[in-house]
Amino acid sequence: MTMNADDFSLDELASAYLDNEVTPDERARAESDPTVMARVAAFRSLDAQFRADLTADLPVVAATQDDMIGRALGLFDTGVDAGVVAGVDIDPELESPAVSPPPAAVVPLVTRRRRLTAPWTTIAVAAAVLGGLVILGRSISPSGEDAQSESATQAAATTAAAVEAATAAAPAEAEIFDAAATEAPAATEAASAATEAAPARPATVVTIGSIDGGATAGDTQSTESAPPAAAESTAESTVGFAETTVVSLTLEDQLQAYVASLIGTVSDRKAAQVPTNCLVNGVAIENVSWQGLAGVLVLSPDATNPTTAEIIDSTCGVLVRVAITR
Amino acid sequence: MERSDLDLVAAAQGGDRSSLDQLLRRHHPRIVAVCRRLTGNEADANDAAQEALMSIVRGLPRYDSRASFGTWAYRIATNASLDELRRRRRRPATSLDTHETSWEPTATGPSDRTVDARMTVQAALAALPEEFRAAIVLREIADLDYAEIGEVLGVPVGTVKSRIARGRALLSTSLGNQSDPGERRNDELER
Repeated sequence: MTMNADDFSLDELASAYLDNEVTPDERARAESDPTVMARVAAFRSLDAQFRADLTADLPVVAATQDDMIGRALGLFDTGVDAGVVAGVDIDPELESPAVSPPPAAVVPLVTRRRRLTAPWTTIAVAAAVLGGLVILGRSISPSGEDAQSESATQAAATTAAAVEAATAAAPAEAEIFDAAATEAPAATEAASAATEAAPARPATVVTIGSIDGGATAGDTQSTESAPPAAAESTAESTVGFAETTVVSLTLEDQLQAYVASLIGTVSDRKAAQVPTNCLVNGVAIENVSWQGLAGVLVLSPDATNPTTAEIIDSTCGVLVRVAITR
Repeated sequence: MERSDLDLVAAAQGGDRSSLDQLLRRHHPRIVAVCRRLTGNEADANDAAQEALMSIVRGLPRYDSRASFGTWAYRIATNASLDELRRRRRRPATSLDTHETSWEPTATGPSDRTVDARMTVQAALAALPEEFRAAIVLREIADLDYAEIGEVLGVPVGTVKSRIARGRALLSTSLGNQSDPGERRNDELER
């Protein structure tokens, strides 16, 4: 059966009439035309079928409610906040205008603290670890295994001490949000002291990714005192990727907490964003930022019961790898 | 007294977990229903609904109540469902997909006749072109008006009007064919 223009016009009028989306003139025209009113009756019957269908469906839907909402609340608990809407395009028209700063009540205080804390913590830990590595490198040069061993031990101790100093500085600078700049020098001084041993090397955060990825004992220690589950959210461009906002992570326990919030919610959300030859034994989940580097979160062996989470860059390099325990 | 969506949103934006819980529970059934009817597949619908809930949580701090919370939430659910459909089309058919099941209503509760009727509605809906199906679902399931549907789908109200009318006409034909051939024959004779 084909529909001609008159049929369509009548259907459109009948449909709009049923939905109360007509002007007074259209209403009068519809009500004076028996053909239109017959179509209204047919559409009304269809409407009733849909509503009956929905009514019968809602109890079935309710069975999945606790599980789904629990996961969403889990994400809320991790502190993932404004600006991160990965995978789903939310119309900017429906969001707060960018002309005014967000009110304080919108972003939980703890999240803002973490946002301010993370860069200082990262810089301090980076400086501490770099300092330790440089000392370690120097210590290997003397001849003799005993000398190497002794020097290496000293270097490791120095590294651990430096890391401790840096992490001890973190709580101090965690209060920056409340106490303004008065405590900031504490963190800066700790970082400076730690970097004195490595003056020639710029204190970039890039190195930390690979060191963290190695999951050394020192690294574990360095992250223990960090705030848990603080998945930072920043709006940043990822060249060549579809998303304009990504979750930004800086610490391994942040990554673990974020992955824990995702488990069971996704299967292969953004699988097209990573070269397929990178995915030997895993599933690409989404774009993320690891310590400022663009990457893709990959869960292995699958997204349902992952045992390992990695962030892989565009060259298949592993920026970080952590074990996932449930 | 039941708290309004607006109250719950404001409290949730301030960090109140229980308000967010209440808000999500209130809208969850329709979010899932929208996803199920748009995707026509239980596994995809659950993925889309879960993604929508997560996106609502992520986007909540930036939601400013200019549109109703329901409109905003159904928009997210619609986009998540359409994303899921696009991904399904891209996904090569492998043995891993064989565990996916089309959504079918539970056999407990409704009579066989009701179940048959629901499956017929589902099948007819699934056969609609995607743009018609989205407009119909947002009207019939999410209960949005034309302007809200236009916002969600990013099309003018006139287009919404046209899509819903075309969708209904196709559904009427489809369901009429299956439920009562005699009725359709009479209808055709009248034409």
